[in-house]
Amino acid sequence: MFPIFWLGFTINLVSGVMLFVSEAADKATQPVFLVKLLFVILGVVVTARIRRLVFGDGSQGPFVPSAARPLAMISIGLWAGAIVAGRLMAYLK
Amino acid sequence: MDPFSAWLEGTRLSTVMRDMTWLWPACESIHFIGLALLIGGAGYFDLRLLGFMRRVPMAAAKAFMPWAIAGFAMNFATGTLFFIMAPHMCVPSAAWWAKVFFIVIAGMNAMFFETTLGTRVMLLGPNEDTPTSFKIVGAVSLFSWFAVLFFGRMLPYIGTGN
Repeated sequence: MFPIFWLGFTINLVSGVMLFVSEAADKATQPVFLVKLLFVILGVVVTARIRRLVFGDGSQGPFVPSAARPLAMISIGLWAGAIVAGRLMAYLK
Repeated sequence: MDPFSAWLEGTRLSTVMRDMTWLWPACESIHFIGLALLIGGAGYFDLRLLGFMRRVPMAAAKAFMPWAIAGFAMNFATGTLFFIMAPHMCVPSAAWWAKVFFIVIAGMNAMFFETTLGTRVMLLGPNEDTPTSFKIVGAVSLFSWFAVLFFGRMLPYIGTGN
């Protein structure tokens, strides 16, 4: 799944940068854009942590470390937050 | 504006909903989370049908489907609200009809799968390749849902009646 995650992330990063450079002057000062950026950065950090936690020791056991569970919930919240903040960029100037 | 859109936008329900200025952005946010659930869940199963990630048992891949169905329900509900608020963006729009067309294709494809091939799915062991019929269903599903997403996103840009 992680290759698919990084593929999707790269597509959105590249197209997002292109959208940004076309309207950078407006977006850079828009608070909700910075909120989205924060969600995305934290989302990547948490996703990388989950990966290390679950697959880091090289074992492929069927049991997920219990610490991964709250991190997974945080991850869902951060990515959903990034979606909402991104969508609201069209409305909150 | 076409007569149907003019009538619907003139109704009290449509007017009241449009006056709630927060409702449209709120529905859009829900619509985008719903699409992530739908394509994330159904797309994962489609990839397994196509023969990717064979280590994952079919039944395990299918366990995401309730999330996909929940995403579809969210999007159907919020999509209906969009339609009531702004039918003039839908009825005369080629992009909207293309979107509806691909929703119907994806729905019929899923129905065909459930009624004919569905029971054979669970018999497939781990690391086993999928038959061609499964691959076709998976490809049609994946393509259709991305087409739905694409034409939805293109609604403000192509084939509008405005």
